[in-house]
Amino acid sequence: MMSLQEALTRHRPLLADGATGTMLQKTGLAPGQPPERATLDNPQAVQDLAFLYAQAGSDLVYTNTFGANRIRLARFGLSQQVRHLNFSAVALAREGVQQSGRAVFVVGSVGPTGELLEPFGDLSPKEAQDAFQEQCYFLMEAGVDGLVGETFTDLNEAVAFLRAAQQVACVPIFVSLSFERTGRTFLGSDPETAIQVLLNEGATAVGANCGEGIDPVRHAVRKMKACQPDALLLAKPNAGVPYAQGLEIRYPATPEQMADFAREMRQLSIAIVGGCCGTTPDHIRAMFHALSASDGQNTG
Amino acid sequence: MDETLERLKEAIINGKRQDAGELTQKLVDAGADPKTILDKALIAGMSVVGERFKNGEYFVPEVLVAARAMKTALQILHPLLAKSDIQPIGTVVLGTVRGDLHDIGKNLVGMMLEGAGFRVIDLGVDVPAEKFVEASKQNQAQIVGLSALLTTTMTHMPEVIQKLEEEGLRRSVRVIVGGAPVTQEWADRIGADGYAPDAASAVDKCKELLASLASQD
Repeated sequence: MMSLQEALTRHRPLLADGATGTMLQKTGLAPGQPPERATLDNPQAVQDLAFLYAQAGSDLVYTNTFGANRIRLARFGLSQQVRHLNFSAVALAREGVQQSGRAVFVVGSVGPTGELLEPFGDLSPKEAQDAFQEQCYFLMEAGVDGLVGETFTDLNEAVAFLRAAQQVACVPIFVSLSFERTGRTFLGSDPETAIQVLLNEGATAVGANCGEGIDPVRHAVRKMKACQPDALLLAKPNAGVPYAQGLEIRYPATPEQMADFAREMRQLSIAIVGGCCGTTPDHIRAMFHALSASDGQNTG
Repeated sequence: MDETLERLKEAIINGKRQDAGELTQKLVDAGADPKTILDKALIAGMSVVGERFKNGEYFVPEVLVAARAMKTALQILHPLLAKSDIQPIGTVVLGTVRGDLHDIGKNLVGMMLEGAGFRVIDLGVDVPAEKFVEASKQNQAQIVGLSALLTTTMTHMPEVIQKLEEEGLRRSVRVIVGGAPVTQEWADRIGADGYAPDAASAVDKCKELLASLASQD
């Protein structure tokens, strides 16, 4: 199997997976509980999810470790389990993708600490970096093919992740921020600044994920593309902006809409495309078919 | 004294936390009236911050550092305000609903409300419905503020409203909701009295709700 680095040089976008948290909730994860809880309580569901995405056509799946850094885990009394949670989640993802019989990369997911960094909060960049480094170390030791820091809204925290990851990793490192409808992250970073800073800091690929549906992700990666045409970009939006149907919360974007989005991203020559909250294996399957179809010329 | 007040106001607008603390202490030591410091520097400064945010001149980071500077000043003033029996403009019970541990947005709303002269009872995160009810009774709150960052936990908001109703508090307490997935439509659907998309508008909304309570009596 070729390395993730080699695979990234192919023209077609690599297809990542869809949501983890909202999918695990469908298999019994209680609302408000961290998805890492499923790694402990319902490991089969975590493995099955990797299998379902691999089977649907993902070229890479993320591990169920978004919140598995010691700072975030402390909120749930799980900070002593950083090693175990990261190791187990990588193993479960690996098992799941192997079951599919397809060659699929396993990428270690690292989310924000959940605390504000100085000067907005009390967490020092050093503390954040140490926590990320610990998590990245375990993910690497468990054998991931790549690392992704995702859903950051503070550029400084994304930089802390990147510095930490580079201390311990010899695999591609992606960094992805979450943009709002204003075109900026919650803490005010714009895509142009973000990509410059993150490329300078050594990111393999930079992009946008989660947030307020498809549009903010589309706008952010288009802006990134405009100022850094040669950079490897990543786009992994939510399935639209959630809305209430009665007292149920639903995500509006259909698999067809995500397929259209995947086609558009291929036109833009985006390196990695996938889905975030609210997307399912059905969305990924539709994106897979859209990307496999021979229509649409690759403009990369 | 007026010049120091003005400098304190500027320190808050510019998010200079250390300056804000030192200037407040200086004013207090010089015998300035705590209520004057609160009104002329803290509230006045935060009102400028709120305006700049609404006009797109400030983004969340500038608001956060300003709010932290204000908070530093307020901590020095708090015991003095309590001693001289200064009444807040209203009391807000604030918390993130059950199952949700996100507090960045909620904390910012809390600081902005304090910066506008409200007393804020912050119940923290993962707050069960009963606790909101209990705290609003205990503190005779006029407003209950509910925060949720997850689509899966915002569904706990109606529980709080229902509990307030069961306890007969729905006429005396206004409910305001907010958080990333929350919309005006959701607020209407669950029967909340107000929704705000950001911390600066939350302050305006709370003032509005306070006025609506006053005109009801």
